Formats: sequence, C-alpha cells, structure tokens
Amino acid sequence: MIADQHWAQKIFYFHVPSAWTAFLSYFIVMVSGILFLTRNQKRWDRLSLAAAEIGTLFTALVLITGPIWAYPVWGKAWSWEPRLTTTLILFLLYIGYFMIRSFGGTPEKVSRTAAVFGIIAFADVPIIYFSVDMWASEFQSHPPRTVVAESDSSIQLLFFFSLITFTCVYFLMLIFRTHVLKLKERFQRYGI
Amino acid sequence: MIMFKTLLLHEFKINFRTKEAFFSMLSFGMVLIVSLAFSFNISEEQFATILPGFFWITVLFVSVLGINRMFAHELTFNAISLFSSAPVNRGLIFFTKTIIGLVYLGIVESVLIILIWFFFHISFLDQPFIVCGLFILGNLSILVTGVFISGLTLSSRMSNVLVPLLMFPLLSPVIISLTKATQGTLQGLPISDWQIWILIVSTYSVIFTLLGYGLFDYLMEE
Repeated sequence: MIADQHWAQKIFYFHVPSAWTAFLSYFIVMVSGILFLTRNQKRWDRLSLAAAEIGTLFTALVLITGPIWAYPVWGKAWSWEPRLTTTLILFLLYIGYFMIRSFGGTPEKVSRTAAVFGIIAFADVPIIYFSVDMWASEFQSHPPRTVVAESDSSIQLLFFFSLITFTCVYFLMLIFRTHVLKLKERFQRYGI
Repeated sequence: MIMFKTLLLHEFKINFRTKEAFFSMLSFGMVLIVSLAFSFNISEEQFATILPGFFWITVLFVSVLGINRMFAHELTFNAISLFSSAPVNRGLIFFTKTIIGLVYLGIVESVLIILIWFFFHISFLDQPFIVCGLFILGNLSILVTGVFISGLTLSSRMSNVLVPLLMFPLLSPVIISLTKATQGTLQGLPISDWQIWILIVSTYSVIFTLLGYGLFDYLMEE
C-alpha cells in the first residue's frame, strides 16, 4: 500500500483483518452477554465464551503481526503508540475475563460475572481508544485510517477479499467452538 | 430514600468502628510517597514532571487496598445472603459503598498532598477549587469501577488478585486523563487547554455509575 515499505506492508492483509475480527468478536461477547443476562439461556453463555476465546486469539495475532511490520518500518518492534497501547489494554482486559472464567466461583455465578464483565469491557474499548489517541497524538505512527481508500483498486480488491475471508473463517471457528463447548457440557453432565 | 440512609448509616458505623480499611489505605499511601522520596534521585523540577502520573498511580494502589476490604465484613459474617434477600434495591448498596470509599480516599489524598508539599515543595492548591473538583471526579471514577469489580469478584476464590487485574486495564483511560489534567493544573495552564480530559473522566464516571447501578443486581444474586 505504501511504496517505501516494500514487503513489510504485505502484512496488512493479515494484520488489519485480524484486528477487525477481534473487534467483531468482542462485540459478539457483549451482545451474547446481554442476552444471557436477560434470557438466562445457557447457549448465550457458550457463544460468549467461544467469541471471547477466538477474539483473544485474533488480538494476539494483531499483537504479533504489528511488531513484525513495525521492526523494519519504525526500526523497533514496540512503541508506546496509541493503537498498539489500546490493543494491549484490550488483550489484558480479556485475560481478566478468562481469569473470571477460571476462578470466579460456582458455574452459574461464573457465567453471570463473565457476562457482566464482557459488557463493561466492550464499553471501555471506545473510551480507551479515544483517550489514548489524544494522549499520544505526537507519537502517532500508524498509517492513516484513509490508507485503504486512497490505494488503487487492485490493492483494495485484495484487501477486501482478505477481510471477507477472515470474517468467514471467524464465523466458521465460532460455530465449531460453540458446538465443542456444548458437547463438553453434555459430557460433563453425564460424567464422561 | 429511607433505605438509602439506613444503608449509609450502617456502612459508616461498621467502617468507623473497625477503621481497618482506612488505616491500611493511609499507611500504604504514606509508605509509597516516602519510598519515592528517597528512591528517586532527581531534582524537584524533574520530579514535578512525573508527579501527576505518580500521584494517580499511588491513589490507584491505595484504592485497591480499600476496595478489597469493602465487602470484607459481609464476607466474614456471611451476610451477603442477607443482603441479597433483603427487600433493598441492590444498586443502593453499590452507591453506599462508593460514598464510603469517597470519604476515605478524600482524607487519604489530603494527607498525601501535605506529604508531597513537605517532601517535594510542590503545591496542588494554587487553583484549589479546580483541583478539588478534579480530585472528586477522579476518585468517583476510580471508586465506581472498583466497587463494581469488587462486587463482580465477590464469591470468587481469588478475589484479592482479580480486583487489581480487572481494575487496572479498565481504569487506564481514567488514569491517562487524570494525569494530563493534573499536569495542566500544576503548570497553571488555562482550563480550556485540558478540559477534554475532564470530559473523558466525566463520561467514564457517568457510564460506570449507570452500569454499576444497573448491573449490581445481577452480581449480588446468589
């Protein structure tokens, strides 16, 4: 996308769709959390857990691919740059979510607590994003948000293909993981 | 309203009888400030640049200590189930705990400000009304989040570990904003230069007060 970045820029076809998938996943965590609290149906809790797991996997991918791009372009793998910092905070928030899942108490209490935390963690994301954005505007080193819109059509085509593919893979993973969680619960119920 | 007054009175009575949360917060805050006084080998001018961040991190650590003790009495005497079965709007329990925390944190911060003035000769009180408003707003946002997280982890095995683990990343925008706003007051900048940070803290406080009030009911369910 940016000529002087040579091969390093190719990582954007993985990095940006990973970030998009992670945000989509956390949005699903929030929505299924609300549905679980209001309807009290176990399937929403399973969906919430599956989305949180996959979302955190994609956030980890963002945090891995970001420094791979940053090293040749910025000359260092990590910088306390707004979007990197935001993503790291988001990752830490969901590490907390899994701590609740592991140590939160009885299964009913864990489901309820995790649903509430999933809602507030997502509510915090835009606040973190905008505050850090303003905090370090002088250190803003990511490419501008308009970089895709300003690129030529062949790059846009490839980028959107990658975005759609990641989204489809994400939904496939979500369906499989939710199903696995359902089977796991069934086995536990019968003591297998 | 009568129920709210009763709960508030009950909280004040219990907390002022034992005072353990208050004294642990106060002594920890003082130890942190004094440790800093001899561990940083920098000039007062250099220290002034890092003071806002250090001050709010100290407040955050101190408040975690207090928040961890918020439900200690109820847990010790197994009174959580009584709270849950009482015909009380549980959001009011959230408010009373927050108010107690505000009183404690306000007193601790006043002592810390005096210590900072004594050790580093930096006064927060050049613009007293603005600073007071800023600190009340900051404390409110830290406490609404803290009490909420404390309620969230109430029955968990590792509540003491979970509270800071969940609270610190959630409060990162508040700490960033409070640091910037405090820097603005210490440098004597006009309020228009840093009002955006106040706006972020205010938004955060409103969102988390509403979430805390609305969702506390789900957390207290047995």
